Amino acid sequence: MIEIKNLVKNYDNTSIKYSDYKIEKGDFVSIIGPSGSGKSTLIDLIVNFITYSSGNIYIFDKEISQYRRKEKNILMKRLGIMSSNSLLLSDLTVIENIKLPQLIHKNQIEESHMSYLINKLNIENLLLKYPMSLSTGQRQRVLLARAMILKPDILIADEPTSNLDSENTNNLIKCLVNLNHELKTTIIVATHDKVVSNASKRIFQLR
Amino acid sequence: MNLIFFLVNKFFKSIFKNKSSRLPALISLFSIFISIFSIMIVMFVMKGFEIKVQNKILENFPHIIFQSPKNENISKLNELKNILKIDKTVETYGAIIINNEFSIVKIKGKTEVEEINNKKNDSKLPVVILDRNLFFQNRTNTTIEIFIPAPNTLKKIRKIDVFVGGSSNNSCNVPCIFIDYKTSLNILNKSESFYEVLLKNPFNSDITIKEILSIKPELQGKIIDWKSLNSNLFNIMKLERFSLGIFLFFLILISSTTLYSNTVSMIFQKKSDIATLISLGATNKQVVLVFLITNLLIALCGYLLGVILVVLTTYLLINTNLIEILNINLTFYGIEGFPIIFSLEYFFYISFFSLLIIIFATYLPTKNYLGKNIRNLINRNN
Repeated sequence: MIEIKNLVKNYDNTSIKYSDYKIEKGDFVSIIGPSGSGKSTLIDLIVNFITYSSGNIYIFDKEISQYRRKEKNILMKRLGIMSSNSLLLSDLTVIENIKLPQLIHKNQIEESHMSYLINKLNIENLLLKYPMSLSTGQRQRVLLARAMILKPDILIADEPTSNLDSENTNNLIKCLVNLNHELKTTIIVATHDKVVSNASKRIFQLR
Repeated sequence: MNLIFFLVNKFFKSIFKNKSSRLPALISLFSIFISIFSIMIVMFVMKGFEIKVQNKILENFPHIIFQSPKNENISKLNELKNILKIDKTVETYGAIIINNEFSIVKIKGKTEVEEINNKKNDSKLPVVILDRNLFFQNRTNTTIEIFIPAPNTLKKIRKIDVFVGGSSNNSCNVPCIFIDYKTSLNILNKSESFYEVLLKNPFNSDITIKEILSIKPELQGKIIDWKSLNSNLFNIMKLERFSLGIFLFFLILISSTTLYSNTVSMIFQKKSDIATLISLGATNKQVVLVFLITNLLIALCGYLLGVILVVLTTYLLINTNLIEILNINLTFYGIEGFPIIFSLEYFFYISFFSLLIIIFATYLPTKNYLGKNIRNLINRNN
């Protein structure tokens, strides 16, 4: 599903070299490592937010740079992203934020799936609120709902439990595990939180 | 619902809800509003002034003048469709004394005076008609003295008593009196006459001249119409209007810079929203369009407000005495009504160029920041 080979990202004064990884369908992978080891960079590279210096990233058996513009749009539909680059739009209500991927990809949302997510993530009472009035934990749950609304094949999350208390962390992890089990969604999480990495099936350690 | 219009609607509302973005947006909106209002009103007044001057000229001066020998047969010219009337005239300069005040006047021999002479004159003095302005300045006098300082036929100055028969509908550029063309008070040389032609449609004077010349080719070089006579005046007015228009367009340019900076600041304020949209799969083009349309809407609101105020002001200036609020007495300037006209031609020109500048001022930053460079903008390190 996702394969990383000889991947290198150069910055002005430093460069990050990644080991080779292969992630299969239905996997739940945690990418862990100290600060500056390149966890978030790897996430950004996989979602093509930044470009790599050398090596290859294959997503769905195709090298990421080989995707044409329209194909990239379809690819983004198959990826659910929860990263620091993907926040809630402050001018939209929670429900409008959740439905945003539908507008972008002109897709019909399955009402039953949306109800399932809203129910599982316990955000029924937040739907008409604006993001400014939500707590960090509530925002993370709404972000997860938005990332999952189009039933993506892969969910990529960057530090999903940062700034969450232990109760909210546990709730979010439960949701991730459920989604992995019930919807067979492949989950890739960059985290420094051991509770998250313990819940995952495999761990990739960055140095 | 379409993504672009959905986000434009949300962002547009949020601009005016959010304190930090409301003021710059209002500054952009009002600067465009004031620019559009100023340029349109000034150009409409200039156009109105030109029309007033044109009407004055057409009211008071012949539309075509030609010079021809005294006994020339011009009856064929009366058959031309556009010709309303042909008047013979002779003219010279003289002086008049009214209430012991001496002033130089133009003396014109006209055929109309003969009719008034027959109807109104009981004093047996030769009748004269004063031009409108001169008549109203001296309406109490029925007799005046005329001196002819340098007549064509006489070697010495003559003094003639005359009867004032009334006022002409015409006013002259210098004070003038009209005398009977036939007798010409025996002071004017009538071997060569001027012919003053009034036209049904004075704007086709050039075509009529061609028709006259086809009948009487010997008039070549001796015929002129009102357009050629006043071409310098009209050219100066055009130049004045053009240069004012150019300078006033700087207002639009200045207001477009506020629009430019407003667009840039909005892009930077919404940096995280842009990153989110891109990460969710929105294309650069969609993001560009959202910001372009949102900022264009602000500018269009300014433009529409400007146009509404222009239409309202023009209507009020034409149909009411609004201008008197400014203590401007129009009768002092000898004009009826404030010189302003709603010119569709100018409206479209100004709208077209203003909207072009506005679109350019909004498109430039959106394309610059959200086009190929969008990744640099939303990169977390920037």
